[in-house]
Amino acid sequence: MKLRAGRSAFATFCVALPFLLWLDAPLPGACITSGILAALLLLLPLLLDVLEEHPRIGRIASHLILLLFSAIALFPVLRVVSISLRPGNKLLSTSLALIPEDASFDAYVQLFTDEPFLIWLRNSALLAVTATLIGLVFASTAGYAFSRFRFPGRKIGLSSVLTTQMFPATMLLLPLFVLLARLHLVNTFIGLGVIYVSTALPFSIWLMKGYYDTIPASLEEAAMIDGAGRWYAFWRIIVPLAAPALVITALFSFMNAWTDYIVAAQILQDERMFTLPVGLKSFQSNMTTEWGLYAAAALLVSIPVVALFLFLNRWLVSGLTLGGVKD
Amino acid sequence: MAEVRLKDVTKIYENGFKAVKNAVMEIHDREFMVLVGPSGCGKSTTLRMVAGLEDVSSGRIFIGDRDVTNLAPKDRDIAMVFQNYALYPHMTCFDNMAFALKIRRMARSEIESKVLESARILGIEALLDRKPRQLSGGQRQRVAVGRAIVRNPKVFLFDEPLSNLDAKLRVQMRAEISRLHNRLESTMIYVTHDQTEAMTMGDRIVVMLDGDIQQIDTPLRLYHHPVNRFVAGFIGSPPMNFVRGRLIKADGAYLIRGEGVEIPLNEAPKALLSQLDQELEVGFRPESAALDPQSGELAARVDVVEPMGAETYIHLKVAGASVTVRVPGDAQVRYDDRVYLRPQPDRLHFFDLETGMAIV
Repeated sequence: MKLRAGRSAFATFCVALPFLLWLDAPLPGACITSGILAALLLLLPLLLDVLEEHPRIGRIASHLILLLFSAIALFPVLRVVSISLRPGNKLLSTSLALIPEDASFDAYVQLFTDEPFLIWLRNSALLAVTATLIGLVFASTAGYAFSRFRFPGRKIGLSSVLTTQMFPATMLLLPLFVLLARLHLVNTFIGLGVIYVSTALPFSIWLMKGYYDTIPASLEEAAMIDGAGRWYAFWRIIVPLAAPALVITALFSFMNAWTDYIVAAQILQDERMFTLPVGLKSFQSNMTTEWGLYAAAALLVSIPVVALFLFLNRWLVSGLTLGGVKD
Repeated sequence: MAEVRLKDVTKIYENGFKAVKNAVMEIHDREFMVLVGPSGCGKSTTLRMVAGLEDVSSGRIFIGDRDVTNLAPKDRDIAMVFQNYALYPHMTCFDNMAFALKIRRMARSEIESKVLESARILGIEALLDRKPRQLSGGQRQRVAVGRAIVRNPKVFLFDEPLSNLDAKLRVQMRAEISRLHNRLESTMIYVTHDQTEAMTMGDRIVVMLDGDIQQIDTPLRLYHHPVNRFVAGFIGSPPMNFVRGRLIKADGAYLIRGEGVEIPLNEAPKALLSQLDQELEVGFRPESAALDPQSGELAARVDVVEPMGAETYIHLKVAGASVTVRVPGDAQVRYDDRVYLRPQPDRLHFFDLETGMAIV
């Protein structure tokens, strides 16, 4: 009884919430969403009964709910899409139409023709891909050494690697800049690349080490008895099995370089050397912000990351080592 | 020829733990040698040193005429079957078995015929396209054995290969590996903690304890002539019984007398005479003592009755000690019955109380 009272009070609140929101600011999207949530909550007990009897309906219902939340997650992205499509004179409109009146691709065209967007893209891609590849090589081998070998300095090495992770990037900014300046590496990709590789490596090494630890050593031992050397066993047996960890390491290193703004903004000074985030920021000036260009570029920047995730998705399956050894 | 010789092989781990101490053994060509002992006795470490997976702290290992002490595993011409199978999870069974041959750059057609031949011997032809995770435990172990035999190595090493299988499958695979040994006529070294496996499979057995080799002998010699109390108690199931008593001479006859124990000896072994009036440990096998409801040398009370069908194990309490005897399956004995034990005097084993060494 108590429960039911609580539930109906909560439901009432949920029903009232959209109207309260409406009074505060007339946002139909928020009202509709919370209205649907309230309705779902009201119907919850009934729904649970139905679900128990008809699992099929349950599947449909769960998909509907997932769709709903996907919509909630996607809505802001769609807003960016709609802003990028607005013609120059309607940038500050409060219209909620997904496809604005007089929609145009002007911003995109301008991005590719008037702005050095392609150069920034090339810079970003070059840096991110190189940093990822170098990071993979170092993390996969260093992690393997930490996981498999017992050598003097192993413990200290592991913990000092971890310690470097404890400093916030902003704190490292000044010393890193001074370091690069002394080495005459300011405004160079090499300088920035070294920073990207070295900031991503500690996490990557630990990640790889942790994953290698879960791969039984007897697999390499079997390979070595079968005639493989340490390297061959590593390459043919361990690396394929560590694919999920390698994928995560790659994604992490890539994102680390691809999304960085703070470091790049300090190190890179020449507009033609800019990476995408720095270039993007250059659309914001003291007086105005070119929201159309900004939105269009933001979308284009995120596409490669999404593509990468989709592409690497299939290697992210866990349990790849199942079956090879007795669990 | 592929005999394996260990000369004073010692393994000391970095933390100072002595896993194997001065092991000396000679495994003959085509012999099935079993290393057995409780966990931590150094048997697996010994095997792994033969495989080259562990460094040898001191001593030398020879395979055939070659000193392999410092050779990499891949150069020793050995094959090994692991307790956890260690199949490569991302490869099919065929590729698992072909892996070693591919490394040796064997021709594709030759690889295929060798893998098929091995698969046929083990009855796993139908599984060759599958990945290890799609197989049952027994099938995986068969593939692991297949991966070993496909290369026709000088020496096979088995590291507790049956421990992860259920009891029934274990008995089946036990016979299968023995059959394989007869068929391949190769040298095999087999590590197990299970004395039944050791007894049933080994041509000879090495019994180890705390890094020391206790005895190397054939199964039956180990059973009938254990060199010390540990081997006597470890080999055999149910294990040997031990009671304590003092050797005394009364009325010209020798007898062992202890608490609730009085065993007359027809004739005392010569070595025993020097132990007169000393306290000894007397051992006898469960089948070397008869039960008598009326009278006998050891008064006992029935503790547990375990009928096995053909025979029955009866656990007894003798003056605080536990003793097990093996009697015919039709014996009528019940819990808490008062009975007497009559050990056969010529089947007694005597052990020094302090050193545990057999007195013979």
